[in-house]
Amino acid sequence: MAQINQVRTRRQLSNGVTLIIQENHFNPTASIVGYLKAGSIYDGTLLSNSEQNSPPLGTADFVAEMLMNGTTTRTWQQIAGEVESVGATIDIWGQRETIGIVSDLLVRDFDTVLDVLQDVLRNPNFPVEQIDKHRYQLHSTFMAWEDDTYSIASRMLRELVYPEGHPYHHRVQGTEDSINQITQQMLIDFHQRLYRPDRLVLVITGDVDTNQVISKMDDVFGDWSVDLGSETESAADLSIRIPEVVLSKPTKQIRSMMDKSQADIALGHKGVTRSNPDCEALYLMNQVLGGSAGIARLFNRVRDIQGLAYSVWSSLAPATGEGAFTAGAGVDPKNVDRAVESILQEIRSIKDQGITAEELSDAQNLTVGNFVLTLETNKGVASALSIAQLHNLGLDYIDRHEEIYRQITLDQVNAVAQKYLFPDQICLAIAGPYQADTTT
Amino acid sequence: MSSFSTVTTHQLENGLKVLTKEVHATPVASLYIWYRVGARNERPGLTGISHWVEHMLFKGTEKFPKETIKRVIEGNGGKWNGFTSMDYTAYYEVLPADKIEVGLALEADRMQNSIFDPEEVENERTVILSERAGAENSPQFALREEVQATAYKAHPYQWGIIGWNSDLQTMTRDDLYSYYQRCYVPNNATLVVVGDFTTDRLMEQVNAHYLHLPAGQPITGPTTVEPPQRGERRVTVRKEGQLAYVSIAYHIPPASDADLYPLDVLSTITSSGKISRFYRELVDRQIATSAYLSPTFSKDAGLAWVTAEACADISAEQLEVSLLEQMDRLQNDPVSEEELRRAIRQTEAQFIFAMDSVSSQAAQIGYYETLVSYNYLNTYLEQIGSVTPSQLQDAAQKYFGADNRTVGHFIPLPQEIGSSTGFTEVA
Repeated sequence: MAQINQVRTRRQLSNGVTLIIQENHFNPTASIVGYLKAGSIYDGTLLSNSEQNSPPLGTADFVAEMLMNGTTTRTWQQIAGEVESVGATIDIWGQRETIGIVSDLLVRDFDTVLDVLQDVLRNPNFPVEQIDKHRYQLHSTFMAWEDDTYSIASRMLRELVYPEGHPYHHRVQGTEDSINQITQQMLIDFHQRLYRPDRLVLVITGDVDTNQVISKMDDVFGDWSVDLGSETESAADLSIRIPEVVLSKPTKQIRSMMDKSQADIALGHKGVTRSNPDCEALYLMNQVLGGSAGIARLFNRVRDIQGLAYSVWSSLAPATGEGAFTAGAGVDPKNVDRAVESILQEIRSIKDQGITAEELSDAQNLTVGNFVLTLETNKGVASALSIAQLHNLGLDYIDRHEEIYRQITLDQVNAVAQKYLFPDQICLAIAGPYQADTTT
Repeated sequence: MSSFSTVTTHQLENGLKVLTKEVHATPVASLYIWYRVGARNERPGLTGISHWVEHMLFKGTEKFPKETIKRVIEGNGGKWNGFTSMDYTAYYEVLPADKIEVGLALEADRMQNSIFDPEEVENERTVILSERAGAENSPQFALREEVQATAYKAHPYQWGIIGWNSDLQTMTRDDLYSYYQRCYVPNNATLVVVGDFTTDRLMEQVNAHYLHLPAGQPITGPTTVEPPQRGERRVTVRKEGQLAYVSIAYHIPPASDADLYPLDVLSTITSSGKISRFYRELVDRQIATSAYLSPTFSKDAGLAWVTAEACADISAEQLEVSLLEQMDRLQNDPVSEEELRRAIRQTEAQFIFAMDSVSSQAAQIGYYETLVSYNYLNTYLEQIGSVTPSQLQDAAQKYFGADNRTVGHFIPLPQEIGSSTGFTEVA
């Protein structure tokens, strides 16, 4: 395949910036995809022992969102103008573990876009006026989410699965209270501490010349120094250990919103880390349970046979820590209890009886085939390489992907279903025109 | 670089038009089949029938029974789905290139042999009612439905694709099946295949699967023409919620009209990115969290929608005033050469990005062929590039006047929120 067989190069600049480059000369476009390890797990008390220095919840995301809002030499209008005038995009957003970076551009504009990208990562100046505007926008966004049954159910479930204090408990964007505490100095401090070249990974794919890209990257990032004075922490000091999650008793939380037409249910419990060797087998299990539309049991039974819901699904979110296993559906309020019971029944059935050889083969074909389809675009290839780098899967992960999934046996899948599904220790969140049964 | 000048047209005797384009970048092929049937072909009592029929095509044929049809594409490593609009219903498969015949076979068979089992129809009724209820949860959906119904009084574009609840509750299996038999005929469809194949070999497969399908009666669209609007219309939706929303709809001509080019450029100037006017004048000034101008590209005369979500503490009235200021400005002052140049460059880049993927190419070819002609794609950039500031102003004056608009407000009522947490056995 044209893109997969292209030579792939990984290079680390002397200051620690990691570059991965893959050429693809089919279209005069390029994508830059990457991350910087400064996500919301660094919010709260985990960053420092001193309470006073703790960045409030939402700080990491706030910093990421402010990057495009002004640097020491560019206003936000200049940043947007330079990028958008050539039809390019740069998106930077906060996530749990990292900030995400995605840029699409016509390759003729590579230098222009790269210069803006390095500037916003290195030299944001966090103008007070922009801070206040962003805070107000967040306030409106939180209100819109509070009107959305799916957002509410997802948030409640996350808070039930991860205990308070766990870095996955809080919303990446923080809370009304926490974002009100964020000051300009906190943003500056957070940026200074965590935005370092040795925490940055950029993958460049497209109609580029590898050696030229390396040389350009060296020009724009090469003088970014790690040494910021005596207080500089080593990379090891900044690494965060995500604590293991203890399964709870079954827990249910309800938000009644009687003027809505439909209820959203979300249920689940802790999942696995990406480094867990069972991760891929569990992924195949989830494809059969609810990770697809065609072959998944939840879709076929809860939607097609029982007609209970338009949307019904399950997902895994393996991460550095134990990302959640989640299932959910949007259902008529009178069917909430039946839908919950049906979903639990499917989870129990997979845990106890496993999947069939035919289902395994379908799940393997689906997984392998769809992965190839995602490699159709520059952005798709770059995203796959970026994820592989984040989780230390190896530069050749996308070449080995098929072999990895084809080798998984039925016994392995059924063993991980048994090991990692806990239908009797499920957390359940319901938001919509539904009221708690007062008899329970 | 790949372009749309290499599309090959094949006309089968039964009326099926086949458009193919070889792209050998990756071993992937994408197939789309477009039927010229959508909400515009419906009538009161049967609103939502096109969308429901689409759902039924996933329920099986004799050759691909329910259990098989579910697995045939995904089990071969592909992706598939269907979607319905006002003007068309489309289905697609993206597959490893050596498996594309599976998609061809499936689409040929379900064009005429879908079963519409009565029990399946009843199950799907609750699924579609659930789909509608899910949409109703969104204030934007509730408002859009009202504005659309108010902007049109005669043409079928007045109802949404999903249909009205009472129609969804009463429609019968026979209604669905006869609609399907009438509309799903080769002479009412376009098949588009883009990807890593050789055209001769692919056409052998197409002929083997499609040539025998009998043509049906020609399908005609509605004869009703929406009468001109003679004054502003207003509508309000009051529902529990958090933020206010405003939607303003202006009547515009169909996709085939050359005025769609300047309207497209106006959409980019007002709505694309942070340098756009709406971002600078509404989002940055903390009036809206988002605001867009989007002209519909439709078979019959459509609407240009201005939609915005208000910031906290901003009322629908305040938001409307700011939006209308911008719409007045488009009519009163010419757009600067620089703004225009920027918009053209943004459009060019988006067009080139879309060439990255065979699926997006197949989607575009079928979309334009269904609404105008796929040749639209070959002249599109040239047409956009030749738009002038005075054409933009002329289009704004022609369509964005007060008498041609329907203004909708979503007024959020205080929520009665109840919540509870319990430690109970949930099963």
